[in-house]
Amino acid sequence: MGEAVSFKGNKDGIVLLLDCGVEFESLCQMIVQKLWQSRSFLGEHTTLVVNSGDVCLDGGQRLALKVLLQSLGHEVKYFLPEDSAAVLPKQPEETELTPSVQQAENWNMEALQAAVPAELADVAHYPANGALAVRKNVRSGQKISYDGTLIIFGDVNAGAELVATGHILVLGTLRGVAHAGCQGNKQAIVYATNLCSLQLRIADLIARAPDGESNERHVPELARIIDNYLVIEEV
Amino acid sequence: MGEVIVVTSGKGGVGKTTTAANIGTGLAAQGKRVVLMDTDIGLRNLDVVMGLENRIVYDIVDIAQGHCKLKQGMIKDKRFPELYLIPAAQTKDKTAVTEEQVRAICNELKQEADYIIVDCPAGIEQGFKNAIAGADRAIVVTNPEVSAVRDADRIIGLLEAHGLGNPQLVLNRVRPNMVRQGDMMSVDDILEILAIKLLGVIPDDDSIVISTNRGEPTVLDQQSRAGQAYRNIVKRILGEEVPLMNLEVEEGFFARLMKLFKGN
Repeated sequence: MGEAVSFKGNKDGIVLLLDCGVEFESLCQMIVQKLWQSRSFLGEHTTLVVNSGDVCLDGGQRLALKVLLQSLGHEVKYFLPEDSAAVLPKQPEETELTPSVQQAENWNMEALQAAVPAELADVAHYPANGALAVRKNVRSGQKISYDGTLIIFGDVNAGAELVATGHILVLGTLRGVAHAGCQGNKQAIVYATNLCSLQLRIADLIARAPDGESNERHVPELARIIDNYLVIEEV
Repeated sequence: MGEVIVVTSGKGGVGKTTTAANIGTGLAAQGKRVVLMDTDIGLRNLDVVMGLENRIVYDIVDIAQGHCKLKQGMIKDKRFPELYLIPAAQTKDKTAVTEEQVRAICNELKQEADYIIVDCPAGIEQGFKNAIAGADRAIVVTNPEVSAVRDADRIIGLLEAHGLGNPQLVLNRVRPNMVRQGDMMSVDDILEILAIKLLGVIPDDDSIVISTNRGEPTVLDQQSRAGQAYRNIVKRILGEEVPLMNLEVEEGFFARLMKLFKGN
């Protein structure tokens, strides 16, 4: 068997082979790592076929992977095995998901370090195409601001703050405040595998959780702007 | 070479001082050489909880500023020969000592003692920074309340930033019947948020109030359930594997009889 994430070539190009015996969140983490390690081989803006073996990824997982790969500068051609049940529900347009900030060319490690507070100095970053991946729980009082897309592998607790000019993806529980597209990008999204934020912000819109309800639902949800309303939907 | 353990929480009133006193006393009861150090300058309490208030001559500020020798500032406990207390100063404030001074005291104590238990003040300002300056590991105390858990989360983040990763959690004042009714956060709820290792769970127990007022740490009271929980924590610190105790209180004969009559 070997690695949970590996590459293979076929007639359609490069296939990303996934072993879905691994928990989805760790799998995403490994994908980011693998893509970063193979960046010279892959190059930029590569179109990938995602093959998850015998397991059929559900809509939410597919969307998460899609956004994840796009934030790292790659496109998904299609998923294997094909989902019989159907396509991703209410999936945003391709163009909508493209990060507004592309700063891959003149990547500056120092600028990246500056974006991360000293408290989180040991985060792992994968400076691929304007995405910052933080592999740790973000705790109360900690704030991460980033010019680009922010990916958190871990929980974001109440009292923590995430601010990004691009998308925000939390592969874990999001309880704190997230502000995507903070410089006015209305195409930005917030995705969390367990979205329990009391407040979400995208561009200049703010949504807050209904008063008095505090149940963690443990379903992946996606927040985005539709017709100038901040909409949160299950994916 | 001893180990410096800081007991901290962020929020006040969750039981830092009680926990520090009980862990320290419990370790001493196991034959360890222990120094308890109160860094809550201006609001000193550890001496009262230990029942040693009347013996204070010198305090941590005197030691830090060289007004007395370290040995002179260490108050010998009345119960155990190898348990000492370094009290905080009451008439000064947190700026009276520096992080370097605390670190120096800790390093000197480590030569002699097995465990140095540092009682940290509430808050995240200078007092907190002083308290953790010389620490090798940290114990975070919290209550099953949203505000206390939030503060604990903040503190864990700050501890990590200061190189004290993997702190251990003491969950204090748990009321099992409230948890059962869904009115209080459960141990699992809190662990899911804080994501650190659990050192122990202390049930809410009236005997704590009594023992604190008397200056007798609960850990020595064989009848007390909180005391049992602290004894378990002490064993875990010493490396023993002790299962979490059953927090449910045994119902008395009368309570069972009443239940029978009520028909449930």
